[in-house]
Amino acid sequence: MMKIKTALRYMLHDSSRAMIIYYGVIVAINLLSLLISRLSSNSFIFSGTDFSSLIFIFVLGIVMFSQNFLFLIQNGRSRKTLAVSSLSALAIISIVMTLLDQLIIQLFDQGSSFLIDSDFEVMVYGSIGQMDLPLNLLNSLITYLLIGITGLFLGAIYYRMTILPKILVSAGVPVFLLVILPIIDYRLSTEIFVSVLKIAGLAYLGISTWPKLDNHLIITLIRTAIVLFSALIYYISTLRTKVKA
Amino acid sequence: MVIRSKGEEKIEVINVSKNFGQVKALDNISLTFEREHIYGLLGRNGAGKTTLLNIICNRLFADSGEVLIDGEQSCENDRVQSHLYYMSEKNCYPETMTVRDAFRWSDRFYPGFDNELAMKLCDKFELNPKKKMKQLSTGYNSIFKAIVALCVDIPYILLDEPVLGLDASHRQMLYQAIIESYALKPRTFVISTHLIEEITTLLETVMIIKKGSLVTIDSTENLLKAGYAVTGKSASVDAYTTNKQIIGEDVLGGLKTAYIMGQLDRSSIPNDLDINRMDLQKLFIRMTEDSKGGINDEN
Repeated sequence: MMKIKTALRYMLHDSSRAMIIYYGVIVAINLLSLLISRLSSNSFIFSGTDFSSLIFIFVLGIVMFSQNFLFLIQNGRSRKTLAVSSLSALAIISIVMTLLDQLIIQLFDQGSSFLIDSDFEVMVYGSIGQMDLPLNLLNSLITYLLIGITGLFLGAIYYRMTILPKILVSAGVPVFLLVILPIIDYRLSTEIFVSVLKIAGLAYLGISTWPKLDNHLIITLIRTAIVLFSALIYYISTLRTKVKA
Repeated sequence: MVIRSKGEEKIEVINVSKNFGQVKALDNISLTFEREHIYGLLGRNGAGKTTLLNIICNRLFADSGEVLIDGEQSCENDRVQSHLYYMSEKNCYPETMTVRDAFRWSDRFYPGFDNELAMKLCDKFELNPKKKMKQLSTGYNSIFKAIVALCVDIPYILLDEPVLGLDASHRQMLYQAIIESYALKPRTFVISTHLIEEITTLLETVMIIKKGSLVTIDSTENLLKAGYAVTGKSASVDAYTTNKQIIGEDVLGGLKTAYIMGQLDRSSIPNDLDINRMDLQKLFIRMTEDSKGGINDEN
């Protein structure tokens, strides 16, 4: 347990500097937008806080793996410890970011944002403000976790790849998802692409267009299960990682 | 808490094999590193030294066989992995981390890290602790890693090419620091290096690896006693070396030098032959060379 605690402390320390810089920029942008709207007659609101946070946590996840893997192995920690401590660090970071984002959104009166009180909520629940705050926060937390774990997983598999497979995956996956699948759908009159979009929408953003899943509690439960499954996949992907020469 | 008998306190490599594609890096190798010994792990480039150390330190996985540290499986075992420190050629510390921060974190990961000694060694080697990893030259990278290795309070220290990029003066200082550290706190040091002559006096036991297999393991003293070189006219040398274990030969014109393993009986040496003791480096070269001939040989 002590071994995991030290590794976790290191990861949180390592990520904290990046988080401080990130939130410094976000607060500065919000202050600037507030200042502009006060000085001009037009209303100017920055409403991209949690969308920016999603990008931040995704990149953090990718970077977190390769740097921490080498450092922890150097300091006598196993891959299991790396996986458990990086998932724990990500969970803590996601909780902190969910709360900070909510605070910033409330503080700067960002009426509409990406995850909370958003158009997506309208899609799921019919109108804004249907979800109570705890559930709203929980859904944001799940989204951050899922995006972060995706970053960790990509970091882990990218570390194992040589340059060519890296390029093939980086270019191939988007091309397959955004070009090949729609063409297949069009040619064969199927709905493969639409199904993929539905699953991704449900998993990552909590958007469900399936009538049976319009209950937000069921959606939250399904997304929690997806987070746990993704964490397991990431855990397994780290176990056979070798240190490159 | 696991209580262990004295006999279990060692690193045991048992029938370990490792292939990289078609290349056999380690071929069913078995060896033991006892506590509080200084070992020299010698081998030519590509012999498998680094692969072996990487497997012991959980950086690579063996295809077959196992490594036990203090009687426990070393693979993916945090408890026993924290008993050893591996100074590898690769720097695994984050590029933006300063030397001072690296010491601070070493103390967290290896409780009992001697920060005072680390700062003293920084001073001695003129390593600025405020410098970031990416600002260190190859030599100072080696110095930094060696300082961490000498200051962690653990029983096994594995050093892979510890003097990489160091000038003669710094190399000497590092050897001295290893001796002092060992005298102060005896631990197991496994040193893998190509600068054999320089570390001969440091080593208690020598292990020589060739093409992934263990060729020799013996005390440095025994090894140095075990080999000698005979020089003279080819015919005389051939006559003297009949029925002796020849591990290599050099021929220059009519003169021949034969390198022989075995006890030297001075009473039986003909007058026209010169006998010299082999140093560890010569012995190593002879024991690990393939008979492919010189660059000017036709065959």
